[in-house]
Amino acid sequence: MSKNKGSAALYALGFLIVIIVIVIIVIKSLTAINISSVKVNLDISIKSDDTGTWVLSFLRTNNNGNSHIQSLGSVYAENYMENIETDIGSIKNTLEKSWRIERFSRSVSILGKIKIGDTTQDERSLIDIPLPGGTKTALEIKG
Amino acid sequence: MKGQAEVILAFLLTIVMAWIMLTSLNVIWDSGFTINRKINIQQDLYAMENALDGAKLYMETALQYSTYQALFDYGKEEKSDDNTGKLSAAVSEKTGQNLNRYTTDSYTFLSQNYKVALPKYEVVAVFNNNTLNIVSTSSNNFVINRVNINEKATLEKNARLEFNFVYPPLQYIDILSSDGLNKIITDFINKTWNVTAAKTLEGCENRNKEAEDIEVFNEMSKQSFKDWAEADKHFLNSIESEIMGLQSTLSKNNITVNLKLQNQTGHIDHLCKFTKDDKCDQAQKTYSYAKTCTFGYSQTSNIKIQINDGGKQYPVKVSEDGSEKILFKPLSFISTNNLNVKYP
Repeated sequence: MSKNKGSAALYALGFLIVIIVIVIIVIKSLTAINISSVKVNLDISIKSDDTGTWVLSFLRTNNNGNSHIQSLGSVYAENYMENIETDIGSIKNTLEKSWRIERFSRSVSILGKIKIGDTTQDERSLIDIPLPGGTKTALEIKG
Repeated sequence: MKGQAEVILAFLLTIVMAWIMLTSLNVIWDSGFTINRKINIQQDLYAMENALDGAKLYMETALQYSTYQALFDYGKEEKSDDNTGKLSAAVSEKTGQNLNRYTTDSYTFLSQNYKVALPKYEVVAVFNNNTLNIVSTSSNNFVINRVNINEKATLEKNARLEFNFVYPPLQYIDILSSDGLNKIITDFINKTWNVTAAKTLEGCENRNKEAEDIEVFNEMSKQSFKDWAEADKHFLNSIESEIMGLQSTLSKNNITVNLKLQNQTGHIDHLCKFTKDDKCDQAQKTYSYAKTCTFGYSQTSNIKIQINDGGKQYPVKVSEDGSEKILFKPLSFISTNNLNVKYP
């Protein structure tokens, strides 16, 4: 009797293994279908890179025919105050006003000549700015 | 009981085997892992796209600086017989050289993680009235790569740049070129001086009188030159006055045009023939004398041209006092042209 029971158990084991293999194949194929379904319908919400988006928009802004990126690069010239003082003043006022309204704590500085805003935050980003004469510097953004 | 234990044992073995197989086939964890990776890549792509836009803005600004520098440098160069064709070729070459100085290093956006490779450019400048259209093209794109563990993303953006620059001196360069000024002088001579003239003497009281060539010229020009040297001097002075008059005509809207005529030489050629019909000894008592002259006018000189745009100044690299500085300067244009007119 015990031999018969042992044989039955082995048959059952063999049968289960076959069933499991079939189930695995079915699950695998179904899972694959589900994965592709998830890929298509997935609604991914990604927080935008705030600093990058903001600084691009800021640098592109045009003031009196000069973009801000050009005005900032032009402070490299020794006599820049005689020529773009108004532009720099306008950039300063616009930034400080918008940061105050939006309650941002941020600062922008370039070449040690211009610094707008103040912040205690340590997060620091650098963006290349072309300078007249074929060189470049970095605009430092904090906050 | 023993048989039941074997069945339980077999069942447990089956579960263990199934677990091993499922795990080996990555069925359990695979889908979640894939989704997380996709989100990471997409977050990077967003910043990468901003970096490419930033690189384009960087190069557009660099093109503006490069154009100012090219016009400033070319304006100062000693050159002769300039026209917009030569200016176009020179500005294209100089702007291209200046622009490619900005592309030696890659562009950094926010951090060292986002660096954009900048391509080399070729520049073509085309003039239209007083506007300079500069198009910069490259065979390569802006390229940014981002590599994480098991992830690699590459984004590209077309690197074409275009800049339209209003350059007021441009509108005078063709007018003040050798060809332009030679035409102004030719038109002036045509309007002021005749190529042919005649003087007649009638009546026997004029018998034995003949007209000098200069008298024929005086009659035509309503002048009273003593000799040809005096006529030549007057002719050259009239051309100089006409050219100098352009200064006030062209100087407007913050543009100042200064002209200086140098080494001016020239003269009036005269080829005359006469006819005489003397019948004073005959019954008719008539005398008729006619002298017909053909005049040719020639003038050669050099003219130094300086066009100053006092309306706006641009940041450029200048050499002053033995050192290089960046200063805001007006974009002046200096040229010396040769004038050579023969009329007719």
